[in-house]
Amino acid sequence: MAITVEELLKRDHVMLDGGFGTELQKRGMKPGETSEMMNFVRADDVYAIYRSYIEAGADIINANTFGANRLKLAKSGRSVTETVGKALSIARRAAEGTDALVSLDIGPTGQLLEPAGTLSFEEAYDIFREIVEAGRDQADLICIETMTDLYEIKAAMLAAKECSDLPVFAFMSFEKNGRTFTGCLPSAMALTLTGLGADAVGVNCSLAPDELYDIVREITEYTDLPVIVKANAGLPDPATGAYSVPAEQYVGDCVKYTEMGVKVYGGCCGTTPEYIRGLKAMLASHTPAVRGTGKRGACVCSYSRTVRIDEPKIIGERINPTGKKLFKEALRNNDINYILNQALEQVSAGADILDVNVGLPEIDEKDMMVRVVKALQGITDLPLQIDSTKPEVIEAALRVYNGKAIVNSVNGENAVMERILPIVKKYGAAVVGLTLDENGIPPKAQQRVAIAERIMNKAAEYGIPKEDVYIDCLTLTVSTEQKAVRETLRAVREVKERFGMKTVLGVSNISFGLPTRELINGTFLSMALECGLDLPIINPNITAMSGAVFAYRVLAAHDENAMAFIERFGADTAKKPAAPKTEVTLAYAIEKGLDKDAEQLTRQKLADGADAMDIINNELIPALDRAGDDFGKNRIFLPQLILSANAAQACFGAIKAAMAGEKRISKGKIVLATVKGDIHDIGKNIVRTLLENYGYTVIDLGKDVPEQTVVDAAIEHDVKLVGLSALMTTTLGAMERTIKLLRESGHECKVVVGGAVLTKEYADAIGADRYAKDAKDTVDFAKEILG
Amino acid sequence: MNAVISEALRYLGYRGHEPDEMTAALLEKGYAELSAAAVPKYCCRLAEKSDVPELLPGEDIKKHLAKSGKVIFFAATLGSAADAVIRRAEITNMAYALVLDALASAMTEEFCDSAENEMKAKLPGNFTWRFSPGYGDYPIELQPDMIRFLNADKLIGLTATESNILIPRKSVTAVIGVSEGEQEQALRGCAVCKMRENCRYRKDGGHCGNNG
Repeated sequence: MAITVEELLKRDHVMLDGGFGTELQKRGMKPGETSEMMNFVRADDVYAIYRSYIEAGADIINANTFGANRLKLAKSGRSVTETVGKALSIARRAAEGTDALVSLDIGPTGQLLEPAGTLSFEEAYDIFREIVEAGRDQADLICIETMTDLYEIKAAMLAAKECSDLPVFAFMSFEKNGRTFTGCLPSAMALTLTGLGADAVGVNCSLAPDELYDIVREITEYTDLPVIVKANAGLPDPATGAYSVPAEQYVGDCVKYTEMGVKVYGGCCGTTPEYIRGLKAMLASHTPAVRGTGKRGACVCSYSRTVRIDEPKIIGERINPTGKKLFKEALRNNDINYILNQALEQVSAGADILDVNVGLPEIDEKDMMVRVVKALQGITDLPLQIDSTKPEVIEAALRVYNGKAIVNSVNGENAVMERILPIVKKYGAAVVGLTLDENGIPPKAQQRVAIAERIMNKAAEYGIPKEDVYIDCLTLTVSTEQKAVRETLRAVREVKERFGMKTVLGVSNISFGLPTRELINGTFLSMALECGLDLPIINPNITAMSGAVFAYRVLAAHDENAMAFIERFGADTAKKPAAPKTEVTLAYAIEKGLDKDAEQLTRQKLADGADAMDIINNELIPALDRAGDDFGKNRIFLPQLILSANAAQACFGAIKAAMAGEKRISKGKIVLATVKGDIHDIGKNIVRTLLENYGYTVIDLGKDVPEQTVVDAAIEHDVKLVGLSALMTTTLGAMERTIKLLRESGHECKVVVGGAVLTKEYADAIGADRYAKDAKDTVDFAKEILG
Repeated sequence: MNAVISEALRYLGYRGHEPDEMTAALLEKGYAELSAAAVPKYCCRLAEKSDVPELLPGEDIKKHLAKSGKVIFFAATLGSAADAVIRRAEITNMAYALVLDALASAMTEEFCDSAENEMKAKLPGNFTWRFSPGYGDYPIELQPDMIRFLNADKLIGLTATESNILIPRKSVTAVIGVSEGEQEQALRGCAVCKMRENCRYRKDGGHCGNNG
């Protein structure tokens, strides 16, 4: 081989090839045919296209393997191995005797990953692994292209890095609104893929060169890697298929990219060898600018939100079982929804990042962490901080995290750093460094600063830049170590000033053992912020705490014109919840869906000595029954019925909080699932809400649930009632199979089924015990069976 | 009340009843949140009916296109951010999630209507109403082929699961016949709908949002 990718990237510019599918169409590929099959039926055309791009000046040609994954090839009768092998062998032959390198091209699977779709991250990884293994021996590098989902390209990146030693160029496709279809930001893409070890990152497809300037500029600001632009020749005409941007214009529009310092050029749909020749000629007279490095500073991100730590940012501490009975109970019961609610409460309270700690001795922390991280990123786009001491838990969490996370934490102990830092580096995360070591927490600021320096240097050895290391100078409890507060603050100031590193502090510890802790916490927080604290870990739901950070941003002139502060607190006077009117009873509050009132009235009753079961049986359930009855008679409609259920939930919440750790209130367990293949779960979730508020414990298996999983859960939890939902005629078969399997297992239980396409007759035919026409009907059946 | 909200109310079963105050507030809030999150997109491709027999299997689509020489393949979506809004609400407030779901369905239909009007303005001829995979004997298994034919994954980010559910969830694929002469509009959605015997809209003399 004449040259390596590494050497190539040291040149002023690198040239890729142009459109492939559109070139095949010109040579007679028909609408129903796929590009990959052309490797077999039109090998000469494929060869000729490669040759035409090499002759036009391409340094790298992309083999015709874009859709050669097992999902897209399923109906073709060809395996991944033979398709990839064939495409690469043609490309190798075309490159013979030239300096051109050959790239294994990887496109999207064609399915959307969880949580938006149904393809799991692990399955996506396996699909990409198969392609990489099929192509690694014949390819000089890997191009991962046209991705619109950061999660999917992460799976492909990991497969490429773990299953080959080849360099990787990573591209995503953006829309005019500056995001991909799934909402990914250019900054988040650049941060995440740089962290995962790409060799060059950029954009391809979707837009014309003159529509991508802002997107590409943002990418250049968030990575030091070489940047790639491979645009479309505009859009195809729906009737003729002709693309709208001619070669001359395409090339002219690319001149601006040389000024931004873009190093790698090429073309996507609609471009031809003529475009590549034009680019080559243009670059001969326009040498791309040399870009500065390290401009971005400290940043973390989810796929759709980038948090720059250029002013104090709030890390919410509430996802943590320490000292919380209800949280521990939720972990033991697999109650992910409880944890998600904790997250959303902090989101609306103004948190910027969420700490995630699910460690409890009696549960499988790794399994729980993966499930919680996956669930959290489905409902919030705040970046996450993975909080665990176990390397295997940290690695599992970082692997499935869709963005650039923070790891909490390492400390100055060598063994700890050697265990954790390689993981931090591999997944491109940031890391919290605690200023303690095997000798404990040193008392003096200077000693803590020395540990900070050690951590910084050790991280650098692993290739982790100092802007990705956040130092925690450690908060001690003021009631036991009064003088230590000054040392902590001094260390914070020094770490910032000497090393320019970001600092993080858990704030709430300070007040342990003192009354009105909020006063101490808030004052300490303000002191620490003034000393340069960047990342306070606090309970943002307490307005005094998050408010102090918002106020500090105003006073330190970060929050220009106090815009953010006014937006958050400006309407405060109007928002004060009114005290429940005297005439509002608990029953009335539930019937009318007044959740705040329901909660407050329940608390009041419990405080007055009322028995929890009495409240449930004599007030809550009759009120829900009346709402259900009104619903049946068309006096109220589904949203109102659910609002009643919400109010009942608030009432239940108050009772549970009062009784945490005591006997559980449950009228029996029910397993619910949307059957295999079906992902319509809103109806099932409505049923769950209603059942829970009648006092049943619902084991919700979710959607797209395999038949055996339902059976296993029914047996494991020894339930007497299983509810199955399906909304498509095509998934009724899965419902039938699930019931059959349940019966065969010998486990005695009743099965209730529901969903839009079901009828009583069909329910009888597939062996269900009951057809429920709506959520209320399911509750009635549950009462019959479980009381 | 705007058209999307009143259509959503119909999906929620209100059948002409006025919504209560709380539901009305949820509808207003949901409409604003979804409008901000949704990134509606569509794509289409015109073909001669005789060129694409593999995309037009079954009797019902043949009847639907009886008078049409040309066919428009069409796909539209509200985008995945709209799904995320609903998913989030399912954690905090099921009533709100339910309202959002109905609103998003109504928004999708409205967007399809406006896309269809745009296409009508560009193409001469008379259109049939939109006929989608899953209607009558027109197989739902066609979803991946429709997406490939339209290049809809690249153009609008549309995908299908292994059980042929479209993702993002609030999406539509459809076939529209185009003729030079009059279209026969007799075969409406209800006539070929698998739900017709069970349909709560039909019981009230109406129809759902899926029948053009």
